[in-house]
Amino acid sequence: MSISSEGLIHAIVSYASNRGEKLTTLRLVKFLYLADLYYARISKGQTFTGWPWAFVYFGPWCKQVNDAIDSAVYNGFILAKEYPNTYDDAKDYRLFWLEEDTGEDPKVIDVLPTYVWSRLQWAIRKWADDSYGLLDYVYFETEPMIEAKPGAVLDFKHSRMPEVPKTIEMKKIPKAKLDEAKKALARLGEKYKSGLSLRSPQGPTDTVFREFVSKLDDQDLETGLEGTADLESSRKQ
Amino acid sequence: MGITQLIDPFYQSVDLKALKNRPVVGQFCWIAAPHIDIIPRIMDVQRESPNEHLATRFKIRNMTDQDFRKKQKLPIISLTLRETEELLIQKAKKRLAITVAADNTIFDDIQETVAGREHLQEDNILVLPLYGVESAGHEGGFPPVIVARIKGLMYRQFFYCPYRSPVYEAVVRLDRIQPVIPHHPGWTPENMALSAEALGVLMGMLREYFGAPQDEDMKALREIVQEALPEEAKVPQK
Repeated sequence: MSISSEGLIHAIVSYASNRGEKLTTLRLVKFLYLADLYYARISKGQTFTGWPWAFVYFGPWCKQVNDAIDSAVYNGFILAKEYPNTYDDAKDYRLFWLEEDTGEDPKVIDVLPTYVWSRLQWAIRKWADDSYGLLDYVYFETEPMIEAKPGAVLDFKHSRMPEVPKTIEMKKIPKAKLDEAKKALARLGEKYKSGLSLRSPQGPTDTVFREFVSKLDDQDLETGLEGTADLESSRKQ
Repeated sequence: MGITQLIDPFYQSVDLKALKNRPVVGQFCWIAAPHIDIIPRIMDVQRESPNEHLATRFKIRNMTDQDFRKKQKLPIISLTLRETEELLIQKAKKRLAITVAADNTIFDDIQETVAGREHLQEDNILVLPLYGVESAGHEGGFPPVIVARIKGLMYRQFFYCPYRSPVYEAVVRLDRIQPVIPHHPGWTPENMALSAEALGVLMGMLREYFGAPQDEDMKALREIVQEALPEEAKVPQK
C-alpha cells in the first residue's frame, strides 16, 4: 500500500487537532506504532511503514519514526513547538498540531483501510491527552509488545484482529418451571437463615481467648522503608 | 437470562448510615484483591551495607525451598521481619466483592472489654471478589460461552452477577475467597447487597463448594436453568 509516513502523521495530528489536542512526541510515536499494528492485523503481519520498531525505554520506537516526524514538520504537514521541561534532568519536549480545521479530511484517509482508520480514531479519542493510559494499552494489549523483550525488534507477524465476543442469549424458562424454581429459591433462602440460627454457639470469649487471638496475628508491616528493587524477569534480554 | 430470569430482584439497597460502617452478609464492598501467583513472589530485602539500617536493597524473585527458614542475614529493624518470615509481594486490583461471612469474632457483650485491641475490634470478614466480564477499552473479554454456562450454574466456583450500577457485569469467584478487615481504605462498603433469593443461591453454592452434600433445591434449580442453555454453550457431544 502506498501511503507516505508524512501523510499518516498529517492524518493523526489533524484528527487530534480537530478535537483540540496537541500531541507530544511520545503520543504521536505510539499512534504511528498503532497504525502499523492495526494494518498488520489485516495484512498478515505487514506494516504500513516497514520500520524496524523496537522495544526501548518508553515502548515501541525506531530512528525512522523520529526522522519521519521531523520531515513532516520540515515539509509543513504539521506544526511543532519545543517547550522547556519543568524537570531539570529531562529533555525539552515538543508538541505537534495543525492550526486550523480546513473542513477537509487529509487525503490519506481515503486510502487507509476502514478498520485501521476507525481504530486509530478510537485510540486518539481515548488517549490523545493520556500518556499513561496509552502506554498501558500499548504495553499490555498490543500483540508485538506482549511477548517482547527489552531492546528486541518487535514482531508484527502474530498480530491478529481481536475476536468480537458474540452475545449468547439464554433460552426463556417456561412459566411452570419458573414457579418450581421460585419455590426452590424460597427454600434455599430459608435454609440459609435457619442454618445461621442453628449454628453451634461460639466458645467463651474470655481473657484466655483474647490473649490467644492476639498471639495468632503478627504485627502489621511498618511503612516508609525506601530502597531500590531489582527485578528477576522472564523478559530479561 | 438463566439465573437472572429466576432471581428478580437480584439486588437490594442497604442503608449505610443505619449500618454504621459494619459489614453485613450479601453486601458489596470494594477491596484490594491480590493476584495469586503460581509461585509466590518474595521481596528479598537486604541492608545496603552492614552498618546502614535505612538504605535497603530489594529484589523481587520466586519463592524457593530455602525461604521461610532461619538464615544468615542481618535484621532490618523497621521491617520487623523475624528469622522465619519473608516479605511476599503480589499484584492486586481494586475489585468489588460480596461479603459472605461477617460478625464472626466480636459479640456485643465483649465490645467494651476489648477496646483498644485492634485485631479483636475489627471483625475479620470473608469476601468473594468480582471479576468483570468485559472491561471498556479492552479488546476481548470473557468468552460468552463460559458466561452462558456460568448463568446456567454449571461451574461450582463461579456465580454470575448482572450489571446494575455500581455492580459491573461480573463473575463472582468462590475460589478466591479472602479475608478482609473492614477498615477504610482497604474496605469501602457499597449501599447495595444481593437480594435474599440471590444470596440463598450463592450460599447454597458455597456450602457445596466446601463439600456439603448436594442440596435438592440447588439440584432442581440447576436442572431448570440448564434447560435454558442454548446449544452453542453446551459441551459438544463426541
